[in-house]
Amino acid sequence: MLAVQSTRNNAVSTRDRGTDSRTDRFNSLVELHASYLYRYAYWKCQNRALADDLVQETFLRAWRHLDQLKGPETARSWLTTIVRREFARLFERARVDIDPEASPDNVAALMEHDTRPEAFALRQGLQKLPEKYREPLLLQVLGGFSLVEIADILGISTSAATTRLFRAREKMRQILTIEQRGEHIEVHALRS
Amino acid sequence: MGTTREGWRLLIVDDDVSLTAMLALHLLDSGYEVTRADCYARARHLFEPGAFDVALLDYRLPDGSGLELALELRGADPRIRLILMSGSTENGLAHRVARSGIQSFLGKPFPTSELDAALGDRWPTPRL
Repeated sequence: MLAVQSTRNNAVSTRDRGTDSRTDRFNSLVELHASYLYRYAYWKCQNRALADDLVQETFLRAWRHLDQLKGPETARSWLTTIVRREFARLFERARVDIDPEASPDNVAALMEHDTRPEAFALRQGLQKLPEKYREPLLLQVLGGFSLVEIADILGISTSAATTRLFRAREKMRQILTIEQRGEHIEVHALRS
Repeated sequence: MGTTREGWRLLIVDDDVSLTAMLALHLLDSGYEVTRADCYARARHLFEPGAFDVALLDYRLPDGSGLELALELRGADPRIRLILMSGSTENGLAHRVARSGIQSFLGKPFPTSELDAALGDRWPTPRL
């Protein structure tokens, strides 16, 4: 991933000549988590360039605060929290014209052109989920986080995370079922 | 870039619609062709020898066992690559899956990077 590679280069070139082990730890973070972070960031902002920026900022901050990382097993969760903070910061600072609670039509308009109908339909369906439900689902499916980790990242109780995930699944099922029915009706109308 | 999976056909079988939708999107973005089924019967209906390169199956399906389905698919198409996923903590399940000759086992929840790794050493460039 070019953007992350450049982030790493920037970070390492500006480092205060730290130890090799610090560099190794950082490089290992990039290698292990860059792909996931990019996908997660892309889901957050639905924009490739912004996702690149978010991941770059995240790794820069990670490099600066690497000593705060408790251990490799908490790295993904730690990096996810940084992305979330950076997203909030970016949103506030630049007044980026992307509203996570925007209507599905607006969100669809913001999405980059997707020529694959199935991917487009799925992305649109997921975007119809309110943020508070989409977020835990993203964390579970993209990040593979446990309920406890999701609760920790979102700053909510484990039972609240469980409820949100349950509702997210139910809503997703409804959205996709309605869309499938819609497609069937459309196909039927075209044929008749 | 190593081996690319661009155009590989993948069947996902799981009754968790939100999970299959998000995994499908992840895989579509990575160049796979994806077909989803929410139960054993639907997967059987969709399956034809040679139609899929990989099947990603949940262990517990509403109308049967994903492990049995995996073995049935392999019986019909020995070249299909099989990945079983499960949130079950059943003792010895991973071992039983390995003994069945299924290539990979993923314990839910898993990050998509684990799925990527299960699908191959190299992952195609995302088309995000």
